[in-house]
Amino acid sequence: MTIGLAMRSLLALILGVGVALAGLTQATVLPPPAVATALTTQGENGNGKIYVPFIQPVGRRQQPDSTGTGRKQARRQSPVRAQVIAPSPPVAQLPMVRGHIFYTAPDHNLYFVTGQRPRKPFTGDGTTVAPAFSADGSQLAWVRFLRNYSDIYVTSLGYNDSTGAITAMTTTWVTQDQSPPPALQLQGCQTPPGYQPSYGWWATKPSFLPDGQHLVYLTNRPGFCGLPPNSPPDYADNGVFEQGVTDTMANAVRLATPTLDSGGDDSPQWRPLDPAVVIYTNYYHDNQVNEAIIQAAMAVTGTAPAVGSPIGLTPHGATAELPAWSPDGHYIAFVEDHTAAKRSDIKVMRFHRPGNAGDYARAQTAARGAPYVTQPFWSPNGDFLGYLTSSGQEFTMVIRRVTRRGATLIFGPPQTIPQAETADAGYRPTWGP
Amino acid sequence: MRRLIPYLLILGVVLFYAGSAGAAAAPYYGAVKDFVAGAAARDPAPRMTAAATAEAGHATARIKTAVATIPAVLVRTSAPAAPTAPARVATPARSSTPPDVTGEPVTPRHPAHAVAPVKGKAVATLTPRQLTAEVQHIRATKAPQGRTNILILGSDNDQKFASYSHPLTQVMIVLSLDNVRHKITLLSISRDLWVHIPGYQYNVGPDGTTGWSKIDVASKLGFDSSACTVETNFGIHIDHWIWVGLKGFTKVIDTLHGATLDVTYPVMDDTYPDDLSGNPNAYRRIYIPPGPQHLNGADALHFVRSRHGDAQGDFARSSRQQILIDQLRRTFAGQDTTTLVSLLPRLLSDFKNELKTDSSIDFETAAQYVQLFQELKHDKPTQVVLSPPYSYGQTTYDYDPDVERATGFYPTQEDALAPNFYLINPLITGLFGGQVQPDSQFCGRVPGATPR
Repeated sequence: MTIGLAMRSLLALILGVGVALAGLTQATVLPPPAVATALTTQGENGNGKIYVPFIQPVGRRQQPDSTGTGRKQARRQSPVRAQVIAPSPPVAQLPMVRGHIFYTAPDHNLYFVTGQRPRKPFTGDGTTVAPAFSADGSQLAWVRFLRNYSDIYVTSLGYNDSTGAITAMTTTWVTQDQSPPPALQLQGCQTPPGYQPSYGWWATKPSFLPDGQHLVYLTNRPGFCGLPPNSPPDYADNGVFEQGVTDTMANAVRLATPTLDSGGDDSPQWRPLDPAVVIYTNYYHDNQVNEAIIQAAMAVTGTAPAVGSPIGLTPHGATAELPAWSPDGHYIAFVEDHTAAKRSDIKVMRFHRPGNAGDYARAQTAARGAPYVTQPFWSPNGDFLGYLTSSGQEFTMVIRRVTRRGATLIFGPPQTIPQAETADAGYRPTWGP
Repeated sequence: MRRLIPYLLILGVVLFYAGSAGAAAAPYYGAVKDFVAGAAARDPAPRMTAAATAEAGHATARIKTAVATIPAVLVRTSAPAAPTAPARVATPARSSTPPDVTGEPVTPRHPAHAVAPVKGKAVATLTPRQLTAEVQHIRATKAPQGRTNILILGSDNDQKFASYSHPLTQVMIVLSLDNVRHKITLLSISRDLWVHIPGYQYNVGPDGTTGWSKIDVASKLGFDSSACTVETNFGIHIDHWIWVGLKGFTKVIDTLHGATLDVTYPVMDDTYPDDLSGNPNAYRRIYIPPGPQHLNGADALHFVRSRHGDAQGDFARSSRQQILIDQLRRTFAGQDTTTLVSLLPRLLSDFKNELKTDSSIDFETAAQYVQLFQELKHDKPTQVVLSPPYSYGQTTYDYDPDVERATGFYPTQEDALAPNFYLINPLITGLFGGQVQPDSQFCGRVPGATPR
């Protein structure tokens, strides 16, 4: 009896251990696709649905991944549960900094700071850059910057004024387009050995239009085959495109076409409160010239400007770049590069109309670099001008109060925002409510 | 024993049910894991710590953990975790260790060619007393007086041309430091210049002599040949040459905590060589936004190495290389001696197998150059690239069998650059105070080299 009981116990023990091991072993085996599908649409996370943040924009087509690379996967559709980012404990007191400043850190994550609290991470996988608020602060555009390509997303935000918490509600993948139409595909390009073809492209540096429903951004799509024909693909320089947040990339409108392989365009920004003016930086270099000109193009939403219509706001031969509109659309802050001297300044010029030469001539210097200042940005009410300044081997965030005496701007002393720590100077911070 | 039986039975039953539960939950866990893994690879959602789910103990708990960590916009609901490891661009994990970037190591013709470690204790971690002694020693050291010309060479691993005995030099810059006249000169010599290479045995040049090719081919005969070729063709006396490998370059920039510089226009390249990934024929896309910024080692390498997608091609690359070299010079010059001495062991470690020179770098030599950099730290460099009108394009035919093996054509038609010596000679005279005949320092080490 005893022996029998012991044997049964031993058998149960062996069975139990065996089944447990089998269970744990099977846990590493991929399930059949049907199960995975069921889970991704009906999984469990407390509300009966797996949280998937990317929603299907209204009217967006679902297209198969025709690239064979897996680069563009079908968009998953799911109800979205809002995510609340609790505020950090108070630290530095900079009461003049009202609202939230989002910026790209050197680790390629997005952080935000307020005037009272240390920085707080918004993303954390080291692939996100270039945040940009909509005019009302209800949306944040940002870029996922990966090896070989980048894409633009828009996240809608909510604010709790009493707790200081931010709620990230829905996120839209704006530049998704898994199967570009023939007109946007590279044809006849020879692929060099080892080069993995895909419909990868850069889409970066988004900025909202005043309506909050459209973006201007940079992309090098569709690019060109290299020269001569059948040489490796050359996706060309970035040009300026405009697209509805809920529209497909195939319907994006090209607003500016740079000269091939000369540097391209950069930092497009639509004029606040104006449906027709967009500015951007056009780079050009050859063996004689190396310049960057801030240009203005006249376009209404969804239309490309006529060929040749961009008008330079800054002179040839100089390097004026990274323009930023004041919230009222009357001033443009920009970086003036002194390449030979290896330093830069931030200037602010009045904007009356494209081609008004006096605007640049009367530009005021807001900050002198030692050696570099870059990426100017404005507070939502226009009372502060922020920028990044080189400090040893890193860039830190600084703001200056802006007061107006007639048309002249008076810039207050620089105030470092220590809680922002360091920033990636390749991308502009953005200041929202 | 009898008392143990019920406990064993209970344990067995518990394990049985636990195992059954595990087995039943396994597909779900697997599904979630697959979803998470798939999302990590392809999902547009930025990723938090999905990997942490892999270590969860119980199958059911694993499901919840995995679900809970499927990222949203990467918003966090609790106190922020420590920032993830700095990484400019997420790089897929590699299954194998990339080979040494330099490929086949260059065998020094003279034992002294190998980089010797800094004498004695400088290689190891320095004690405070040692550090003080070395700093005092450097401060007491005198820099060489007058002009010192250093030929800076760089190359990729060129595994695409494995038949070549030495990697071709893609970077060829003469750095001239004159602490008497307080002049710094950076002269970039394009790799495609079609010149006479002393000791080279193929291709007849426009003057009827044998031994013509692109100047980057000179390194096939050793880096002494590169120095000899520069001296012979341009009349520039070379005091030292220094060759830096790609990995060493990247490490040094990172050791110096990156480089702050001005990217004067967006750098975009759709066929950037991704040979550091382990595949010598791999390519990738790169994008560096314009404006002043701080680059880490990998991005700095992209900055100085990219040449596709740029109308100025190799000339633009040369200009960017000069920008970075001057930035490094200023970084070194801006450091106090104590910091530099502290960095030396780390820098030497970075350069292990990634740096070669014409003679050993001992502590005395390093100290002299530290002093030289310090003396010139306030001087602005003159930067020149031998782009048009100093050179112009021409089509050439290459009969080198190594080239044939690499390209499959004999002869191989090549796009090269013809140097315009009518303009180059006065330029050299102005920059270097005159032109000189090549001495035997380097040409004497190249078999068969007879300078014209």
